[in-house]
Amino acid sequence: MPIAALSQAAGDALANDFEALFREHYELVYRTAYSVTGNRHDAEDVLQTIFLRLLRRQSANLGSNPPGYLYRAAINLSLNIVRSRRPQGPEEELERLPAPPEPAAPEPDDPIRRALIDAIAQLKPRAVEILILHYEHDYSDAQIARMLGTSRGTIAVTLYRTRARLKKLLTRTMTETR
Amino acid sequence: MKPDQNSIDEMIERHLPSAPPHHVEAAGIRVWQRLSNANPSAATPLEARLHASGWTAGRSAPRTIVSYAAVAALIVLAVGLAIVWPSAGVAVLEAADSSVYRVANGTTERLAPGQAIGRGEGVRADGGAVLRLADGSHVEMRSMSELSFERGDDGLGIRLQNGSIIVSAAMREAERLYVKTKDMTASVAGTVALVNAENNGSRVGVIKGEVQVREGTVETRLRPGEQVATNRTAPPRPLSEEVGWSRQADPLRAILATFQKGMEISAGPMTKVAVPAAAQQATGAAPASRAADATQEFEEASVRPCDPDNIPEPPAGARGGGANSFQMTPGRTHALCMTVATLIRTAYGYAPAFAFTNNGRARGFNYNNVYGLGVEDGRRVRGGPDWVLSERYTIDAVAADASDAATMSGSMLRALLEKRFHLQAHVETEQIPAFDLIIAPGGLKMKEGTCTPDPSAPPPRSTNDVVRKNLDAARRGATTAAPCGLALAANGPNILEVSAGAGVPPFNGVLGVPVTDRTGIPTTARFNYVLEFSPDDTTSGPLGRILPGPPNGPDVQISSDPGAVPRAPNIFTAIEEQLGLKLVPSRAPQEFILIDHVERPAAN
Repeated sequence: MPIAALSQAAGDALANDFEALFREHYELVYRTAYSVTGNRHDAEDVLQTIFLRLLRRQSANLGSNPPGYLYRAAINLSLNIVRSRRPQGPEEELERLPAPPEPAAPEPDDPIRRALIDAIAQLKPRAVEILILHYEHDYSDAQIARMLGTSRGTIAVTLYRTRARLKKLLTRTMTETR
Repeated sequence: MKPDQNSIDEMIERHLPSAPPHHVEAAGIRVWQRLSNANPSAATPLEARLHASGWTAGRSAPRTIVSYAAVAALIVLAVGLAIVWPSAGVAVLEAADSSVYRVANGTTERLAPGQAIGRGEGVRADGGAVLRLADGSHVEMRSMSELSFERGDDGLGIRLQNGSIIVSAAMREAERLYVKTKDMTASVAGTVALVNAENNGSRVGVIKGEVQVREGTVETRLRPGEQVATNRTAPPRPLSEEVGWSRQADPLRAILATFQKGMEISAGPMTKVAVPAAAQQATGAAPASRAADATQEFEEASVRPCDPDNIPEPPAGARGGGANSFQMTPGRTHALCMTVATLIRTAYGYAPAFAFTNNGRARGFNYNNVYGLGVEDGRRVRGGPDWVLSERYTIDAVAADASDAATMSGSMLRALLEKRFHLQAHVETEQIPAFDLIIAPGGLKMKEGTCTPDPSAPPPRSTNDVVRKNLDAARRGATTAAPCGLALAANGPNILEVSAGAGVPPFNGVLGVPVTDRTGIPTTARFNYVLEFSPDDTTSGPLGRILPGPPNGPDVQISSDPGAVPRAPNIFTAIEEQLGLKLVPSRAPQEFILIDHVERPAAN
């Protein structure tokens, strides 16, 4: 049933819930997506896509853990975007330069940052969830455990293994680049 | 393990991307606005609720301001580039704020900038997007809009299923361009028009030109500022508000506001221009010129010198809006603090001397746009006293009847210059120094190669972004990635030209003289290469010098330590050594305007 067909009261209630959900969690979603994708366009895309899907689903009910749901969605969607950045065969060429959409300063061009984004894209989603909560959102192990519904011990072990895996991936990338 | 653990920890801390706080808030507001627009027919629109709740108090959404400087730079870079249009497409996705999808044969596929859209295919934009049609027309899509391209009765049709678009339609000679919604059709050739398609009806507003709207059997002609809605109960909304979502809205408003302020300050009172024939006979005054004799003239005009200490500046980074800007509205022509030489060049319909396309002719003007015309440097307009290149005048002129834009900016402006400046001038053709481009005796060195897409990559934000992206690959002659084409940047004191699958390089924009390709290389051949040369007196074209950096120009420097970069060879040596091409002196015809006589104008 489209939103337009809802009664005004029901529509208002949904809009209320939706607005509250967006206000409360847009920052979590955007910052998560930015950390994984490394650029604002993709991060904005992720934010919009997640809430657009909710809007079309016409439900702001995300169960008992809305931030956990939204966070996982942000990680998964962001990883999809980074992983899909591979050449897809020849396209018809255009000898022109597209107009830049924004004047703002370009994203920093940092080879280690690029390598880190590539390495993170090769991790398991669960590892990325824990990594970004720890480094970007400054969550403690206990907070991460609560958010993801697991134990502190699991978080600590996963973080340790994730760092080791990242180290291996980064070492390999940097050796190949030389 | 401890030290390793610490170093990786530190690396992640330092290099993990972290969104700047102002990005977060701006993105949140932008996305919320788009989501609100996705639900326009809800009983209580989200946007209205949001507005009432004060979350976006003051509506200070940090709308994306187009980088005038970067756009200007890219436009400059495009000078001399041959556009190759995808043969199968009617449109190309030029830029997108968010995801844009091609909808065809029941499938949905994400589109990347540069990818083509075919006839019969649909486009769905989650965020704002700009499409470019093969004839140069642009379609800007509002977020959450959906359209498709179809063959019309006598041209191309854009079927707008829902949402809003602004069509900047080029003049079409053979075909027409339509926008169709479920309840009306608008013919939009040569115009800029806004079209909305909503559940409860459609709306068309005209920003520039004249649009013919057909609703059932009823046809309506709309002129700039006018709009029509198929839902008669829908309250009218000012067009200026209606186009507020456009990525061009703010820059256009800024340029317009600066220009209007400049005109208010510098324009003087109007006086009659055309002298009745009887009065002319009575005073024995000789006809001023051929143009004044043979053409319509402005009825009234004000010509007033500009205060050299208060020359209006364009808005930051923009080309238009300040001195040497030109605007026409139906029946009225405004020139803000233009040099006489620039006025003459405009009135004779020529582009600056370094423009070698279109036989040096200017492309013409449309109503309402504010054009930044640059300053004529004395190469297209020759002769006359020095002050024609430096002294500036503001002209405000009114036509008695509905003269078209080409007549007002052409013969009527010439007649005004002849009346007020006693201008006498003529056009001559001269053989000027030029170059032929040939393959050097040592053979071609630039490597043939292709450029592949990068569908997930956002559009480039600056010239040096584009250059950096393909620099290494192009240097190796390896396959490059979209955006394909030619990009220029500065590397210390040198100019870097990076080709990502571009054709034989054009050098007229660099050298400032005509260059004829006599290499015999097919125009379909594509190359990946890097050319680095040191600009000097021979590179006098707009692409042959390094532009100033911010705040007065785009940041084109790619070196973090420009002073440490050694000077590259000059353009002639660089082309031969790096590309295996050679420039051989030749001559080519060029038209220029010669001033025979001109005087400072008398007071109005």
